[in-house]
Amino acid sequence: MTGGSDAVAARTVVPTVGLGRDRRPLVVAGVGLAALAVAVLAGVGLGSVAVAPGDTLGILVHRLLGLDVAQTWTPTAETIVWELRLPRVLEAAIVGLGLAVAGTTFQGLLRNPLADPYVLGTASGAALGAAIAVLIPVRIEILAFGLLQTFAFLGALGAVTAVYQLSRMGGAAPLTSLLLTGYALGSLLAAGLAMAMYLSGAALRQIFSYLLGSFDNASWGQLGGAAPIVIVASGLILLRARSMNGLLLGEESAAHLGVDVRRERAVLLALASLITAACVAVSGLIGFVGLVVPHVVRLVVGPNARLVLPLSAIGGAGLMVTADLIARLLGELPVGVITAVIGAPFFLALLRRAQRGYEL
Amino acid sequence: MTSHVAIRFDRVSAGYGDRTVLRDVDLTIEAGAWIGILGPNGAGKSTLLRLMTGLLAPTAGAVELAGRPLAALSRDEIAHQIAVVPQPASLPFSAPVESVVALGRLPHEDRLRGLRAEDRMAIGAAIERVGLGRLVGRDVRELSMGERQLVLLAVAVAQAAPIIVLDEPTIHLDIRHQFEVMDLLADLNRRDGRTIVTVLHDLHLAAQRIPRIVLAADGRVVADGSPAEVLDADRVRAVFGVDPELLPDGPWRARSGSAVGAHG
Repeated sequence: MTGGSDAVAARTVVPTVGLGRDRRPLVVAGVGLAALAVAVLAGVGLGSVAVAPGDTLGILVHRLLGLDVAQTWTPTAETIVWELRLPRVLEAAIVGLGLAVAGTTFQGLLRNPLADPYVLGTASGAALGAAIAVLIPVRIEILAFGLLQTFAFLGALGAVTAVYQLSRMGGAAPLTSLLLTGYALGSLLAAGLAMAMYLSGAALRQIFSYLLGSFDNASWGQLGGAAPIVIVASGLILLRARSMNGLLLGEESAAHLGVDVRRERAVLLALASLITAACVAVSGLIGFVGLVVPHVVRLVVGPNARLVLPLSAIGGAGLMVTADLIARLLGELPVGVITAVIGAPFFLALLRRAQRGYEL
Repeated sequence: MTSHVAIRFDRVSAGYGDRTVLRDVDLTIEAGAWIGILGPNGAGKSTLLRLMTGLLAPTAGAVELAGRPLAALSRDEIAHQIAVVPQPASLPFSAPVESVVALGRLPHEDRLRGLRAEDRMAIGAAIERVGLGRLVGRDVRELSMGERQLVLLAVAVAQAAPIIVLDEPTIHLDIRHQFEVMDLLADLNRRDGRTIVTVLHDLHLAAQRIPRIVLAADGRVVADGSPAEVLDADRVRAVFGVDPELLPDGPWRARSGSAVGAHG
């Protein structure tokens, strides 16, 4: 009896083969989270002073959950793990998460596979802000943010705001206009940065290390400033995944599918820029994570932003924690060098594997 | 309240910047009608489509959708009324056919959870109906322009709006697929009762298949009626600037018969 209705049901399901709930994203998310956990534990345990994995876990459980664990570690180990490494590892995770989400958003919004979180002037704005801060001989702190972080944050936001406002005056199609304005203003700010570096004298090294990016100065205070911005803005972007999906077919098609393109573009741009600014303020300019991670995720699960955004967040966090660990183990290299060394060949391999390559 | 009029233009003028493209257009499209918009390049056909889908606001007059002023509707409300089949555009990322067709469910899907079972059913049904089963799993960017056009048609079918507006839906298609698309549009029109508005360049295909023709020229609607009424030899010569004798068989050949046919 039921066999008959099952057969009918099976027949109506036939055309939807490949459309049902795909388990792959869940598997990818599980594997990604496990890898991230391993990277965090390794990041906290390894370094110039190695802390045994059991002790690392013990310290974390003791401090995080307040459990009474038999104390097999030295107070020095606890200080290293809790005061130095954990904030650094978590900051790397937050920055990696933020850059990957911002990169996904900019790529989808600008419909450009080469877009990254820095494409609309945030990088050069932040860099110029940081350089000016280095040149100012006053030291102040605002909520654990030094002058450098504050100026970098404001520089990034100021630059992207200027790009957005200027692009709306242009006669070109909005997307082209945004990209070209970003490029033009970015070049102008880069000139300012070059001038600041030229004038900086002994402070040059400090500016330079900001440009290459690092988590050397990570602290609980900095993390407390950046993490809420990154997490809240990423969550708000995820709630707008529907709009980002609509933009896949172009702005007019998105409008036909019910997306208020002008409003959604402004909101998504603001959120992604805020994330980028928070990231570059605490870590400097770290390339490739925001560019490469979303592409890798899309190759695995397809273009649906509802999946690409959270999976990129996990992947970005894992990649950044790993890259920072490698940078530390190799003797405090700039983490941006590591992400480039990992990211660039990976990206090239992906381009070769994608059957027809990316239409640019 | 549902209206028997799907789309109404009331003395609409529109343009871009200082340039006026359409002047004083009156047009009424009844619910359940199938109309073809014809006219030479630059006649204002695309502008008509942009006005009826709310992408362009009129400089004078008003456009109504199902009895309500279009200007007062949100994009979401319009998307529940009108599905649009545009010309294929390039995609920034690779995307399998089914995930592009799934975009047709955007106006219906749950904002938080995404596609539900009924959405998946509608996507599967749209793929089936447009005959894209063999393309499932393929990257849309690998497809021919004609195949991409069919994918966009499936997006509109999945969107399940009462009105479908198509911009040159057959332009990239081979002759068999041209006929199949016209068959599908006829079926969507008659069986599902959908209102269909098609911009076409192929006079012959339009005259053969579409019951009502709106002829645009120089920013105005110059004729509106059955193919036999609208596409007579003199008008084809005047509007398109070609000798109708050079065209394949159509209403423009039936010189003396057309007047009788139009009134009989």
